[in-house]
Amino acid sequence: MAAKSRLLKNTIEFLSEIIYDERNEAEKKRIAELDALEKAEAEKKMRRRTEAAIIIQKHWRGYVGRKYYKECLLKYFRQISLKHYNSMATKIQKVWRGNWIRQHVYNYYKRQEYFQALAEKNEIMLIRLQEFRDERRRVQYEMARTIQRRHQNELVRKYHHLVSTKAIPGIYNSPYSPADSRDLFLKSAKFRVSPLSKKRKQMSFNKKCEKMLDSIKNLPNVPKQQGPFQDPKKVHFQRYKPPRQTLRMETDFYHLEKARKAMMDKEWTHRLHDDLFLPVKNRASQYKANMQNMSVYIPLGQITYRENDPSFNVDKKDFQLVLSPIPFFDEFQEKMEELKLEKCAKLTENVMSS
Amino acid sequence: MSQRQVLQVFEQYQRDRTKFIQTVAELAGRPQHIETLQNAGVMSLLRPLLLDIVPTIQHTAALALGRLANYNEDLAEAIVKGDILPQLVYSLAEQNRFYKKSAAFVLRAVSRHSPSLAQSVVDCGALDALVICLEEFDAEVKESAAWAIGYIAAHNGELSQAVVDAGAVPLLVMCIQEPEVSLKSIAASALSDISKHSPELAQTVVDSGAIAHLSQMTLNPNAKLKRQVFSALSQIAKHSVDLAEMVVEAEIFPSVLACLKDQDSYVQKNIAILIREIAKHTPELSQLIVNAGGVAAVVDYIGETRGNIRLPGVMMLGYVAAHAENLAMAVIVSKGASQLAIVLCEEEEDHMQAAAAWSLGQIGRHTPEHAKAIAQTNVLPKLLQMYLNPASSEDLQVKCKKALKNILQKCVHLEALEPLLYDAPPNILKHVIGQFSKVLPNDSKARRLFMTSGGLKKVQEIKAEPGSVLSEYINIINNCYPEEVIKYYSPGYSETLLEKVENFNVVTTDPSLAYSHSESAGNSLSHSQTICSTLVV
Repeated sequence: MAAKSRLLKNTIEFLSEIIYDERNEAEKKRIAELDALEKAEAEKKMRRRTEAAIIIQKHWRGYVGRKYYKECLLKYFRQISLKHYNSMATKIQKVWRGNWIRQHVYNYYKRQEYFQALAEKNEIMLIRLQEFRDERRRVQYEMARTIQRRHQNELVRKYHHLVSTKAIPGIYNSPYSPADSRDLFLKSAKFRVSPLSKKRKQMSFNKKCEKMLDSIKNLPNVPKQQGPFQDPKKVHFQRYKPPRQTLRMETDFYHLEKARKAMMDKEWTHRLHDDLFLPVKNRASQYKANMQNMSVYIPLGQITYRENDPSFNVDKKDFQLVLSPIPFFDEFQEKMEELKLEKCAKLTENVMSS
Repeated sequence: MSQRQVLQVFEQYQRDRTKFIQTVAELAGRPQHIETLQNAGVMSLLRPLLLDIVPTIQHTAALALGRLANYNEDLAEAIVKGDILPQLVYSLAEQNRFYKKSAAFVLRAVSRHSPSLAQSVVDCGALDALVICLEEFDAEVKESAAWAIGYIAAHNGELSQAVVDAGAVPLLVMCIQEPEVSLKSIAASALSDISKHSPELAQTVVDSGAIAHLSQMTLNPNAKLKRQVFSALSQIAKHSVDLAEMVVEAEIFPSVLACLKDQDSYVQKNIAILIREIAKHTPELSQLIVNAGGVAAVVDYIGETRGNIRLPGVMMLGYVAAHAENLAMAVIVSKGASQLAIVLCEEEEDHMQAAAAWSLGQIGRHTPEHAKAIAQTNVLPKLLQMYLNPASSEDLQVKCKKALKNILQKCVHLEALEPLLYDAPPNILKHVIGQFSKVLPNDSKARRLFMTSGGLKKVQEIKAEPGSVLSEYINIINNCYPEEVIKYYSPGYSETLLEKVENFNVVTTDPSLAYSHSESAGNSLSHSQTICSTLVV
């Protein structure tokens, strides 16, 4: 029994174990099935949601896209139309500008007209210039001719003594040949009275001379000299020249002082500037006397010029030095004075001893 | 001894001094005696005589000094070193008019040689004294003072400024209004010398009202006066547009154009300079001169004169043409281009030729029309010849090259261009071929003419570096013609044909046929020529 019970007990134990395992298994499977079911449910739900979201997004995106596309299209259209308008405007401007500039700036006909007018003006200008030049030439020619005529007249006057007279034929008037034009030419001489002499005549001083001349002219039995030998003007001048004073008389000894005074008086009356001119470089030093003026006075009684020692004039230094520029002397003047004094002292000693 | 005898000694002394100084003054007038005088130490003897009590001796001494100083620079320097100038300047203020004249003469003679000498004259205070002399009543004193002032001012701007600062300009303008013609002309020349240095100096001259008086004298019959007046006006006008406009507003045009026909050539030259100086500033001023008929007058004057006298006229045409296209056309219409071509051929001197070449370049650079007008005067070969001539100066070469370049770049007158193909150097040839390459693609007649006249052959002979501008142009020309033609005209074509004949494989065995074939091959050269000639025709 025991065995039996033990067996039973073992069997029960064994069975309970099996049942427990089965139950366990079933529980496990149940949980798994439940999970799977839940999962499937969830998946299904998820899918439905996703689909819904897709539908929503699809519509939304479509809406936004269409909106954006419209905008882009509009923009593009605007660009295109702007370009078109711009090109049209350019065309209009081009045509108008071209027209304007051809009318106002590069007008071919006006340009041609201008150049034609310019050419005409140039022609006129050249003609005027030619006229001007001809006129100038004519005037000059006239002047030259007048001068030439004057010269000729002078020549004729000079050679008038060669003219033939009734009594004596001139040298150009040979009896063997036909009449020479040169003789006629000589006959055409016109003598003029110098305007200078006319003036002089009015002066009382010359009246005396004239009287004297008249008296000479009226001398009887004196053959008249032929031909004017010198230019009558010169002769007149020579004849009526006022007496010439000596040089001493001509320039007053006190001329400088007088002139200065006169000038100062004039300056006083005709003064233009109140500030008198002052030279920039005022000399501080005193004026030094000239080298040539410096000589020692030796009384005439002691020494004569004839007895002079020739060595006085012979200097060891070059004579050129005397003629060298002034500043040189200015520097060495004092030295030279000393030298000179020494020399003079020697000279006097020599003379005294001799 | 009586009193008379005593006085006789003095009289004798004075007479001898007078005689001495007069002789020296006379001798100093002749250049051959001056060296002798200098060696005899005339300078140191003249100085004390300047301080002589007799006025005649004083001013004769000044005259002699002036003549010596006039002779050369060394003597002038000797006068400066001899401290004679302060003495002269001092006595200039208080002596009589003869002395003033001679003293001013000395100052002029000294200052004429160099700027440094003139500066030393200015340093002595001579300007103030000279300006006071300008106020003198006597015309001759004024004249010599104005002369000296002019010589001082002529050297440089600083000396001119010193003259202006001394207040000489208003007095010189007063001198212009004096009746004496010589005084007028000297004052005008002094004003010209003052205003030539800078715009500011010219402006001071203008401000003192010189232009109105100068412009009144433009029709004076005296030639010497006119010379100076025109030179003064041109020196004023040359500086700036404003000054030039001031001159123009004195209404000198068109009456001064008559002076281009003056007898005196220097008057002609100076008036041409005046016109040039005015025209060079702006297109408007040039237009004014053109409208007044100035260009025609200048062209006429260029035709009548020779050498340097016509140089300013030649340059004036260039300046006018340089401003604008229509002004250049006006020059061409006034027959300026042909006259310039004549000048270019006639003149021998380089600077004249250079000026003419420059002016021609200025005229021709605007449009093809201008270039054609220039090309028709047949001046291009001449320009090329001058450019290539090794004897011509560098300046002339540069000017010729520039002119050629300017004209060629606009020229589409192919007949004139063709001679240049044969003897132009590569740098010019580039432009010539370039013009051909521009014209030939568009003008079938020109293409044909170019081929028949041998131009194409010449082009094939040119060895251009591949890739250069020249080779590009040649390519463009070659593309205008069929390939056979180009081949035919390229050098060495006959040899290649002969080679072809040698290498030709006779295919046929029939002797009669072979004979005829070889004959035709042998004559292929002439054959191809006939083909080409038919093509050409």
